[in-house]
Amino acid sequence: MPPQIKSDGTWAIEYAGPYAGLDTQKPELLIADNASPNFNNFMLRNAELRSRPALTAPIVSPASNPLGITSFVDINGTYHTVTWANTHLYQYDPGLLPAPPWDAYVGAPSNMNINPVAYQAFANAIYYTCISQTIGRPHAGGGSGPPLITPFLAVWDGLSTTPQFTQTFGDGSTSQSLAGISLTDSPTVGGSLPGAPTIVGPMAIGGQYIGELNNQLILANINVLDQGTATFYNFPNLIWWSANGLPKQWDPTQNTSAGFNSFLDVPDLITGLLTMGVAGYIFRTNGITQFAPSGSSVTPFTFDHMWASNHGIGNVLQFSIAQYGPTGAFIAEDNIYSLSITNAAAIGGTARDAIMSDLANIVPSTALIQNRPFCAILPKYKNGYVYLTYNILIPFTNSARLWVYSFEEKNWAAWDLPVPNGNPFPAITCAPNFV
Amino acid sequence: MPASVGGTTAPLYLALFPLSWNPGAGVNFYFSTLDPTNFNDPNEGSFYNWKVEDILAGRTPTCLCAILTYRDLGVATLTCTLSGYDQNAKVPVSVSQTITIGTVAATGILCTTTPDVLGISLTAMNLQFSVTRAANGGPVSIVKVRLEGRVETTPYA
Repeated sequence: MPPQIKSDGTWAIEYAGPYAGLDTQKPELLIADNASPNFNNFMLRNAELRSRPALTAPIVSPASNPLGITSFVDINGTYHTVTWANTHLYQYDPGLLPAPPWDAYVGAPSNMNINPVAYQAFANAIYYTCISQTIGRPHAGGGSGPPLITPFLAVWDGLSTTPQFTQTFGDGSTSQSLAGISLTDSPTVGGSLPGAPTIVGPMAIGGQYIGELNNQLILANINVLDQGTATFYNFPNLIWWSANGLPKQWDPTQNTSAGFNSFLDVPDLITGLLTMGVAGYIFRTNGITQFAPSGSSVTPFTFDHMWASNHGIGNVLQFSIAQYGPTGAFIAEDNIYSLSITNAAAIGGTARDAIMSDLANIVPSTALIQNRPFCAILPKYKNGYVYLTYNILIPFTNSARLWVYSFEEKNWAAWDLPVPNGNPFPAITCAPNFV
Repeated sequence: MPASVGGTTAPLYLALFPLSWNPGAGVNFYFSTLDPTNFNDPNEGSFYNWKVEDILAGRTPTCLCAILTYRDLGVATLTCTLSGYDQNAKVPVSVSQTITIGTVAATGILCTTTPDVLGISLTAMNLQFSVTRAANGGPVSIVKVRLEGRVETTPYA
């Protein structure tokens, strides 16, 4: 409430929630009573100013630089919490405590280094993919950045002791990726890719992003290894989908419902993918392309560039896209947006400038290792404590700042976390997740 | 049907943050959590600045006390600060008071700083109230803040 001044000159002010969060976009004198010009490590949940939950480290990572964390349920109803590092997929095994509680399985054709893994549960198995990431800002996406790794798609069903990341075809050739093209078909399929490269094959295909729509797995921002010549091909604005209901069939000459589409008519790169309801959204640095099942097996998707302008609202950071049910969120050049089935809405609010300033001040830890922000929508921090938030985790030198947006109360809070930057390793190499 | 390899009967129900994290003991990688049963982070402090108030434009008000309503989550040490601008000396001014709130029992009930009203007092323009909690300073949950004072209300001639 504004100051209450009585005729005798006494005055009083009361401040109470619900809180509007940080407001750096008006002079401190002109902000709302329930806003703050500057605060840190206070949580605004349920109209209280509460010191944020303590950061604890209950589970040691299986190895340096975890590249992703997720869980899935297998056909027996058993839950598997998995992470990745180096050449392995690791499964959480509480029976190993107090030792590091991870069972290791060889899960990749080569060391994944510090390239984040993208994953998608499909048919009670976890499919995951990894390619080389580009380095250097503005994190526009794309593959073939050093160090090079074999691009691949793999699957683990929770029933076998080894994830599958290779595929042997009818002609006897073997691809180093579950998404592969046989030696026989590679010249034909490769020749129809942008630039019509001469490919010997077999081909190993991986994507920076993975999703699912219409019972088809979809890889986006593609990196291809021609195993015959050990040549990498980078297709940063191409998506490639599996055959309908056949997540191990990616060859359009074998099954016409598999295929690919290169967005040659847009000026930028694919920087993310999410599916929502009956449609999917492919994010580019300067735009969003909506796609939906067409009902045709030969051309299974229709694509609509919601805008293909040279500059526009898109996702500018590789790993800012997050989704929880019907709500997505991403960071564009001009604001932070939430995306629902019906609309996109700017949510940066009065904290936008402060967040954008933090994002602009990220520095690489080395010339080759890029510090990058990672984002997630988390429904809760722990069971029984609901707090639906979009979390932007930004690494700095020896600390990280977690920007927390409450979808319910529509406010932003900044939380600083003590995170030493393990030079030459980056402090953060994948997004948080609720598992 | 093949048996599952490992796994658990239920999800972990935890938000895991993959971070390099081990203050003071070298760098290791952990899956960290934000623990909503513990609001006393041992390694990071907290602060909150409220809106700047001019009370009555062109006048220099005096704040005579501050009253905090808080939830008792345990014993915490809190530094309360009033800051402002001394128009005559043309310098920023501030005054601080450190208080202890809460009980060992951590009752969870609402309490106020009364009857020990914070006798924090400052005469200055553009008054601003703020609180600071040091790292490992205890769990803090503020529900309401009330500032009281006096100001000259006679109009300028």
